[in-house]
Amino acid sequence: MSATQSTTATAEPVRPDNEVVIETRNLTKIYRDFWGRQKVRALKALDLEVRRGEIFGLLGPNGSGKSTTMKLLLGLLFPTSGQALVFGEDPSKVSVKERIGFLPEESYLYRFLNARETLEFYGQLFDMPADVRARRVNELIDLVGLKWAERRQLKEYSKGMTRRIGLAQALINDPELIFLDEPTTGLDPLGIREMKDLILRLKEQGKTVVVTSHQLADLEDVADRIAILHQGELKELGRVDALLKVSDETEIRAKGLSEPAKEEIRAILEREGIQNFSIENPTTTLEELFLSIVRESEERPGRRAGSE
Amino acid sequence: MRIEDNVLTLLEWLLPQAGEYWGGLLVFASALVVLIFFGLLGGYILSTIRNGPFEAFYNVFGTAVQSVPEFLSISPRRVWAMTWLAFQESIRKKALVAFGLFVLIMLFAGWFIEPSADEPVRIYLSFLFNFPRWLVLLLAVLLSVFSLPEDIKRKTIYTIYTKPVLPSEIFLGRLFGFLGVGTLVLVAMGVVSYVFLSQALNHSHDVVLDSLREDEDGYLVGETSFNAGHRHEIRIDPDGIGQTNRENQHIHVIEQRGERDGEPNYVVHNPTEMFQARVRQTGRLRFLDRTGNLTSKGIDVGHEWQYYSHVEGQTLSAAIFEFEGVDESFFTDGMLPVEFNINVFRTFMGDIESGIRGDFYFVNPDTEQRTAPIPFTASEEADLKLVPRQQPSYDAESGEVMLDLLDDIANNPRRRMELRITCAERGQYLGVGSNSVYILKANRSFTMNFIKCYLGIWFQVVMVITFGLVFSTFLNGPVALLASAIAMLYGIFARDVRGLANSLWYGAQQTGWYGGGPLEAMVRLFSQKNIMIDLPDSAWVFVVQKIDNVFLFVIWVVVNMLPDYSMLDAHLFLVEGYDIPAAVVLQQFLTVLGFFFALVAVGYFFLKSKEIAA
Repeated sequence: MSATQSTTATAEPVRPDNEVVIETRNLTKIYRDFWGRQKVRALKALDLEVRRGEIFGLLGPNGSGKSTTMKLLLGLLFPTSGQALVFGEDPSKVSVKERIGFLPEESYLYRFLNARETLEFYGQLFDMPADVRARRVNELIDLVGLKWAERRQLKEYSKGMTRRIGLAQALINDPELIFLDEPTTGLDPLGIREMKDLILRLKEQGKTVVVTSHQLADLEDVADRIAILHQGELKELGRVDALLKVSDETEIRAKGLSEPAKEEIRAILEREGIQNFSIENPTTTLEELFLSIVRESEERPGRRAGSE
Repeated sequence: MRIEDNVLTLLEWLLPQAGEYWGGLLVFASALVVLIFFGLLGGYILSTIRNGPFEAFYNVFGTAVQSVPEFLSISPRRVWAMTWLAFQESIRKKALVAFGLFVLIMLFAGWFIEPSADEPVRIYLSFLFNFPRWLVLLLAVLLSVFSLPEDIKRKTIYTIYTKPVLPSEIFLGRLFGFLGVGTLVLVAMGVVSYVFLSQALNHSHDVVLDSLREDEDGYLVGETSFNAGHRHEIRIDPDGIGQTNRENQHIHVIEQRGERDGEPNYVVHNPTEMFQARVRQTGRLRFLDRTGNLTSKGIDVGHEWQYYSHVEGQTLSAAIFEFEGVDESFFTDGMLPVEFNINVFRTFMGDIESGIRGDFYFVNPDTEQRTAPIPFTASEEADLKLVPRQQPSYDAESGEVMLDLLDDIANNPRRRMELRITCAERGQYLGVGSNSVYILKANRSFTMNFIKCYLGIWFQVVMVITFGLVFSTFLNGPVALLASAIAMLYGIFARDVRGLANSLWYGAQQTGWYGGGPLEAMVRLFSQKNIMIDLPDSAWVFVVQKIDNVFLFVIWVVVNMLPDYSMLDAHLFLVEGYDIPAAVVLQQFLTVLGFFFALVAVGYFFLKSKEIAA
């Protein structure tokens, strides 16, 4: 085990609401062949609870069982044993589906429809009155920034545009619970940031979001709690900040520290007998650098970033 | 449906009849029970393999119970959304190409269909029914079988399944969407066919003035010019109005309009009586045998086609057609139009050109009053006789010289009138079937008949799409295509298969199963006993024969549950110029409706129990 603390059962319950919206009990899924013989045990006895208003991340490498978990929670798969409950009910029930939104991994949408038709179609599935539907479609098209391409068939869309319209369809019913399966797949860094911001906005609106990803950075910024799955088993579960906290190291960050001050700090640390320490300027992440360049470029078009 | 088939009234069709006929309602109810039983059993077995017997029971029971409120909560708005999606999908995937292909072929059809043939209407109508029918059925199969599997393969169905949509709504939406496309294409094909039909056979002639001469009645007789592969003989009255004889299934009306270059100017109008929708009033057929005793069947002359039963010449043998409810509507201008389609069976050649002579007369079944025989010659062609209402009495001694068909012959409580046919030539036979002699009651709109015929194709489209969709709920595209194609072909030949199954089943009950079923056949094979040798009278033979009977019963049930598309096909009525009875259309509708509900339920359960993401 690394320096990361295990907080599986002791995660601090800082939640806006204690209502459990998702619960799995001993949830197991075994894929079988035509003759009923076991092919893969995709999920083994998963116990989870997701509470209202939190962003819950399902993290794991490919084949770890996170997509299977999501499909079980959506009623797209039936459990081999155990139980999955959403809002306390079987997820295949219509009453459950009225309250959820789902962005699949590849935005599986009808490519012969255009953006407006797509949202109109999904809106009709919710029995929305026509005027409400029309208003919602307009809002969502604006939200995902596809007004300029709303009449183009989806087969002409780029992957990023398809993800955006996929997200819009997931939000068409203003759901309480949103499942996002690998939401940043196919997005550029700007799109990834926007997606993360959107997830945070959804949280601010009191919605519960379940996100799967194998990109660790995707969840680090946004998730309140994460579950780490590997080979179908739950390996870790807890609050992100608690899981990432390195308890035996200390970090001091300060702006405009003078060289004499740095020397003094170094002297103090040596006096305390601390051997492995470093005092240096921090580096930013490549994502942050990229985003700042793009923002600057948008503010002052035609100028090279950082030329001043 | 064939024109020789007896058309039952809706009530007769629905309710059981004495003998082999169960009636539509009982068949539907029985099929439903069988379907539910085997559906539950199959579901339980499959679920037991996967989940064990107790959970399987819970699953099957739960799904069955849940289905009722789910069916009741079907949302028209969601079904409409799914329908519109399926419609758009089909249109944008170029389903209308089928219509383009149809139009393209129709553009060149005139090259290959000969309007100068003896029976051009029959040829044209057969083509204009069968070609669009096969094309639209092919389109229906292709539309229905690939859509759901493609949705599952592309995973687009994930976004549907995670919305509040019921499996039945997904099924119904697709069904209605594809049906919309099929209907659109079929209607377009029907309109083009109708226009093509009316234009392709439209023609006129000129009167050949040199051929005109006056006959003994003062009428002008002659002939027309040779057009469209034929010419007509003409007869014009002194007022200048006339008509041609019937040639190539039509006549022309001729009218004199003044003079041209000092000669009378005759105008030959476009063809008439080409497209007909004659209404048949058929009667109940019985026979008198050669000794004059009443019997249900005539003489069997050994024809394979058992529709015709025969009347022997110069004996007391007769065919009796009994018509009920005879009233004024049976007569046209004081005449009773009776059409004879009589088969001839010769035991010696005789004069092959002249046909076989016979007589017909009318009898009051209560009073036995009868008219004098009217001679006719049967030549195996449709022969329309206009019989005057007043007929000479056969029995002059009774005091009545003339008998009125309505006031004397049909003067009994149920207004019954018998038409009896006898054969006048010794050693020769006249064959009649239940629909071969009838009274022509009216001539209805051909256009309506054409629409009714196309409605039959539409019913077939409904069946093919529904079956295709059901197969696509549990099979992948190509396999579903194969299954649908087999189902469609079976449906087209189902009548023969059903006939075989029925004859085996009822035959086995009456006379035993000649040679036995598969198990007995196997026993005979291994014990080297051919079908002529009786098996020993032992317990194991009894068991084998009982097992074979169960097998036969299962086959009989299955065969009778599968659809018979031939009953949805009334094009022979159209081709032969008969009105398609409303009862036939209603029977077709109810049959399709029955299958529709059953198949929607089957599709629902398959979709409901399907793991979409597996």
